[in-house]
Amino acid sequence: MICVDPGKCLGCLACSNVCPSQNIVLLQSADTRTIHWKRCKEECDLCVEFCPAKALALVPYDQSIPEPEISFELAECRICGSRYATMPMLMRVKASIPPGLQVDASGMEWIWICPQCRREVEAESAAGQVVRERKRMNP
Amino acid sequence: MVCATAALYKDGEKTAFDVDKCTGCGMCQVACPFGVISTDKIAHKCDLCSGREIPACVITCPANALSLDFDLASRRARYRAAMLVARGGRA
Repeated sequence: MICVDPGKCLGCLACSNVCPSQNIVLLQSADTRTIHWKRCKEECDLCVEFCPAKALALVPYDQSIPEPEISFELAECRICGSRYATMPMLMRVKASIPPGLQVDASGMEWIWICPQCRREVEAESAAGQVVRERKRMNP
Repeated sequence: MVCATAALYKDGEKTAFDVDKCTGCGMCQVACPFGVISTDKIAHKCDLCSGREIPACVITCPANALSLDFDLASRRARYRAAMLVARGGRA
């Protein structure tokens, strides 16, 4: 069965997606993501292999060990308020991208904005640039 | 950089996507500043019609508003980086 290191788990769902036996269950509410690892007897270790945080390990089956469950509060988009990612995921992205690239030209910290709003902000800035360019060429 | 299985990788100028390697962890979606990657069971990303010389959207756009222009993309990236440096950030 699976043993989870709650300090390392990002709450990303890679394990749940690769599990062939649907033993890793997602319970998602509006603002919280809960992952529940069912006690499993399989010898497969796909979840361990594909965990991007190396948070999982296989331990011998034991009925007395409680099934692991972790809840993550989902971060709120600063523009639209939708919940879009777990805090450990965002921290991981923050750690792997240089700080200068975490803000856009207008100084906005896009990490705290949901993908949908990022797309809209980017589309608006691209459209503005095209309009300015056309004005420059045909004053 | 955040893709743990290298399902997303650089192929020349474009970012290519190997769907068979994707675990659907969603890290790329969170890391993309432009919000162009979405995830359900696996990630979805435009592959610029791999196998075609010109993407289908560019060919069919009735207003000829689309073009495949890596130069424009890199010009805009340079502009953004320059603005950042000008504002005291780090590119």
